[in-house]
This record gives sequence, C-alpha cells and structure tokens, in this order.
Amino acid sequence: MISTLRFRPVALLAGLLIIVFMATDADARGGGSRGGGGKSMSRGGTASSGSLSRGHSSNASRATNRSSSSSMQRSRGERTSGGPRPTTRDAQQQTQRQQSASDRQAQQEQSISDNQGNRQEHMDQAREDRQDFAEDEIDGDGWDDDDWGDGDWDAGEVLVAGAVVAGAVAIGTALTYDTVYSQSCTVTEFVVTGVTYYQCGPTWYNRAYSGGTVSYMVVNPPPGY
Amino acid sequence: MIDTMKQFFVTVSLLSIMLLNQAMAEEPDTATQEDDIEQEAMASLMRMATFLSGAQQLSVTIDAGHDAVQRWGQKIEFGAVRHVTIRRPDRVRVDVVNRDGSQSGVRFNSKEISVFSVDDKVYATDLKPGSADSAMEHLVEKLEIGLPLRELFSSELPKLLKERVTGANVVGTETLGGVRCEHLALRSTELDAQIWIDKDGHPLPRRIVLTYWHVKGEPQFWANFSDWNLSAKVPDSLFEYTPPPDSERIPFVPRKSPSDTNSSNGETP
Repeated sequence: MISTLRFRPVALLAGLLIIVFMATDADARGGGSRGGGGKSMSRGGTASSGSLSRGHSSNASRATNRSSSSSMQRSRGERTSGGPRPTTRDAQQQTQRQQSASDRQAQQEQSISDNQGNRQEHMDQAREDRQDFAEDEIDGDGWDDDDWGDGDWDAGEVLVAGAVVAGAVAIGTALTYDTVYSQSCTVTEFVVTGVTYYQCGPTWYNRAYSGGTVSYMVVNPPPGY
Repeated sequence: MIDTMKQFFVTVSLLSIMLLNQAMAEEPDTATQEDDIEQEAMASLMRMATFLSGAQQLSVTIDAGHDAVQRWGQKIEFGAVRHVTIRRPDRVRVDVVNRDGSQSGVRFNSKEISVFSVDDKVYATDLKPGSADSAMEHLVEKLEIGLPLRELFSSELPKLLKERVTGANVVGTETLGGVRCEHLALRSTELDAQIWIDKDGHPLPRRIVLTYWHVKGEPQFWANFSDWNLSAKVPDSLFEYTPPPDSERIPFVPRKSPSDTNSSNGETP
C-alpha cells in the first residue's frame, strides 16, 4: 500500500503553485475528469446543472444583455404557419410604453455603451486567456482547469489560492484527482482505521463528496503520522 | 423660398426623430415579458406538466450534454446518459454513464439517500426520510450532487412552470426520431428553454434545450429523452443500494463558502 515518497523542496513550490491554479476545479459539478495525457479542463459550470432555475441569483437584465424579441427567424424555405404570433398588448400598456420610451432610450444608449465596454473587455480577456492558454501549452503545463463563468465561489477561490501561496494548503480545500496526482511527488496511500489517506509532500488528503464530485480534501495527518 | 425649405427640413428632421423613437419603443423589454405568453403554447406545456407530475411511476433514458465554458472562452461539450426511475411518492433511482465511461448513481429508498461512484469505489449516504421531491431537492441543494432536470420530475411541476415561465410560443410541429412533436419556445427571467413534446401519444418531452443567457458564453444544456415507460415493474429492491465489498464509505463535505474559508484556514473543519 505504501509506495516510495520522492520529496523535492523546489518541486514542492511548483506543485503548490499548480494547486493555486487548479483548486477552483473543485467547483465543477458533474464528476472529475481524468483525461488522457494528464490534461484536464473544466467540465462544470452553470449549464452542467441542467436546472430550470439558475442556482444563484443574477442581477443581469435581459434588456441590457440581449434582444428579447419574441419574433423568431426561420431559415429560408421552412414553413411558417403555426409559428409564433405577434404579441398583443392592451392600450394601457402601450401608453405606458410610450411614456417610458424616452427613459428607455437613455437606458438603451447607456446599455449599448456598457455592452460595448463589456464586449471589448470580454474580448480582451478572452484574447489574454487564449494567449495564456497557448503559453501554457508551449510550456507543457496542460489545460487550465479553472471554471470560467460559474461565479458562485470566486471570492472563496481567491482566498484559498492566497492561503496556498503563503505556503500552506488550507485544511478543507477540495481538489480533484488530476490536481493531486499531477503534483511533483509520489502520492502515497495509507489506510488508517478504515479510512484511506493520501500523502503528497507535507499535505494529507482523504476523499469526500464535495461540490458534487469525489474530491480530495486537505486534512490533518492521521493520528501517529 | 429659403424659409420654406428650412421649414421643410426642420419638419423632416423632427419626423425622423419621432419615427426613430417609435421604432425603439417597439423593442420588447423585460417589463413586458409577462404578457408574452401564447395560450396555445402554455396549454401544451401544462398538459405535459400535469401528465408528468401525475404519473405514479416512470422511467426514462436521458442523453444529455452541456457546454462547459473554459477560461479562455471556448465552449467544450460534456455529457452523460442517465437512466431515471421514479416511483411516487418516495423512491428515486438514477444510473449515470458519463461519456468517458465512468459510472455513478443515486438511490433513495424513502429514508436514505445513497450516492456512489463505481470507478472510484466509493459511496456516501445521508438520512433524509421523506418524499421523492424532497430527496431530489436535498440531493441538489444540500449535497450538491448534480441531478439535471430534476424539476421536470417534481410532483409540483405545473405550479413551478406557471410561476417561472414569462414567455411561451409555439414554434411549430417537428418530427424528432420519428415522433411528431410540438416545438415550444419558453422564456423565464433566468434562462431560455426550448422543449419538444410528443404530439400524438402521451404528452411527454422528447427533447429540451436550456440556454443560460445571463452567463458569459451563453452555455446550453440539452437532453434527448427516450424509452419512456410509465408502467414498468419497480420493486422496492430497485431503490436500495448495497455497496460492493471493496467500496469505501466517504462523507459528504459541503464546499466552503468564502466566509468559511476565511475563518477556518488551517483549522480542522
């Protein structure tokens, strides 16, 4: 059960830094990835929930994010009968709409401006990320496991990452199989009173269901170790 | 003559501004989503919801996929096939085969929820006496186990849809896998949905597509339903979990919230 432990102080720092960037994969719902070639990527995110109600609240406004027109475009040649009918609204609503038209126009102008800014920011970020990704690939670091877009725990993730940088992986941090086994150490298994512990350098783990998947939780060493 | 032309241009300019304002006012907005419900579409949706929620037992195979939006913006699709069996009021069974071949599952026997991973050789259990509805809610909300479309199997599906649907239209009649379906477009304040409902047989869903439009990249979840069975024999034993001898029992550990992380760094949870 016990295999040789190779511990390299310099490699430890590199291993911890890898944890910093991969810790957020604990967020991913739907099971951990054990992809070939040591590469893995986020499998989770909002859409993996398949929920009819988004799990976390969003202040996003449909009007400021996208067109909400109910008229649908069909590709040429498709039959249009039975399709969506124009929405009918009563006179009172129409009056309200006209009264608020100028307000809405101002909002729309602001929204367009905001959207342009957001889009530019998004494009810049995407370009940066793609560049980072390309550099990672050149360096052989593999896929980035971070889950972009699922904003549930971002603040917490940053805090956890900060703790790791300081030199100690926080107790209770959840990591994936890939993250644990990609570190520059040989992971050693111990069975103590029926519970399997995993040791990598100075860090101990055991398994638990966390965030919807089997995770490796950072724990204190078992008694006697 | 010049004054007349000036007056003409001023009038034309004013008219243009008015027309532009009118055109912008025609753009639907969030405030009017509630009245964007086509009765025929809602009626079809409610037929399905009432039928599904009233079924005493059902089983179905769901081939589902979702977009996972990566850090660099690329959307990568992952998916799984789930076989779901429900016996109301208090039995649930889900068997999952992910596309990478890994297998897992869920059992609820009216008292205890068991979650297991065949490949990891682990399982976890949690006492939760109650209905299938409450077990599925507990599974997702407290234990954080993914159970896509669990609302579809809720006994309160009609109420839930009435509360959440803010827009509904009939797109048309389409054939999916040889089954004539009514294609509906639905909207809520949180996501867009499309659903295809069997038009000739029982009003069962055949396909669903969810678009999380407020999330960067607008990821989608989709599912194709097959092998619907509303009269299968489902004995109690089907909902019991017996762990294999080499399987290890592990705990459920909730993810840390930011405040938890802040306050418990370096401490035993």
